[in-house]
Formats: sequence, structure tokens, C-alpha cells
Amino acid sequence: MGHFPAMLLCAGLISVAFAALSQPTAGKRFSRALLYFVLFVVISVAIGWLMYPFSQ
Amino acid sequence: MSETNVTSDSDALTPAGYAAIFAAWLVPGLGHLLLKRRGRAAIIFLCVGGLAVAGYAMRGQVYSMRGGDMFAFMGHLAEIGSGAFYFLARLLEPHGADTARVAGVYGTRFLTIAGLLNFLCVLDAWGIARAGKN
Repeated sequence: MGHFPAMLLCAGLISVAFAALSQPTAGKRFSRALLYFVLFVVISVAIGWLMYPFSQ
Repeated sequence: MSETNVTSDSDALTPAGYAAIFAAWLVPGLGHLLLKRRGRAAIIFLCVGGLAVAGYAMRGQVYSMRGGDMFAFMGHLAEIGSGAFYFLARLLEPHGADTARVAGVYGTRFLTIAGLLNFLCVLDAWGIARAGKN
């Protein structure tokens, strides 16, 4: 499994768990899980790009 | 003059509450099931179990108690949080760890996250047990 699929899997499972722990209803859990997942992915990619100059 | 007992036992849990907390650690989601939070229990089991099984499939490192250094000991503390999934490591990962490949390193992180996530779920079960008691 490559970097990106592993990150997506990890982010997806953690997002769903966090949403289940923090929200009481299914609808709220779904929207919150989606938000957490998008934030996980966007911030991870952003950090990856910020680290890019140091890898040269 | 009446005295107020500041350290009242309002925070004390019932034996069923303690059992639910222990069950929440031993089998991810079981504590919530005992506390009648079926939906949350299923999600926790699938998420913690999914992370752990994915970690074993990627042949992540399973740290033992006698790892030798502080990093291994901390890894052990984190991974043991997934309860049964940690104790079934030899069954789920029969060929052992392979951290020479990058997937094995990812797997180690997955196993660590599964344990830490379940510790969070145990805290949630504790909060539910307390709220149910009061």
C-alpha cells in the first residue's frame, strides 16, 4: 500500500471514530466525519508540501 | 453545624460501570454495547479493528513489554490499547513484522493509532458510565 492510500484509509477510519464519539445522531456523525476526513487530507497534503524543500 | 462531604462518592461507578470500562478496553466497542450504545459500539469496533487488521496486514511491528528501549516500551503501551487485537497479534500477523519495507512502518503506525483510539473510546465509555450512574 502506498503513502496516499494508507493516509486515506487511516484518515477515514479515524474520522468516522471521532465523529461517532463526538456526535449523538447519525446525520450529525456523517457530516462531522466528512469534515474531519477533508481536514485530515488537506492538512496532511499541506504539511507534505511544506516539508518538500527540506527533502532536497 | 452540618458538614458537607466534599469527597462524596458521586463519582464512584457501579460494578457494571467498571465492567463496561474494562470490556471497552478488552474488546473495542464491547463497553459501549454493555452501556446500550449499539451504534457507537459497532463503529468503534469497525474503526479500531479496521486499523489494527490493516496494521497487521501491512506487517507492522508489534512491541512487546520487554522491547529493550523507551521507544519500544511506549509503542507497547500504545498498542496494548487495542485489547484483544493486540493479544491476537500472532494469529493476525502469522509471519511477523517486516519493517524493512515502508508498508511495515505504516503498519506500525496503524497499530499504534488503533490502540490510542481505543483508549479514547475507553474514556468515552467511562463518561457514559458516570453519566448513567448520576
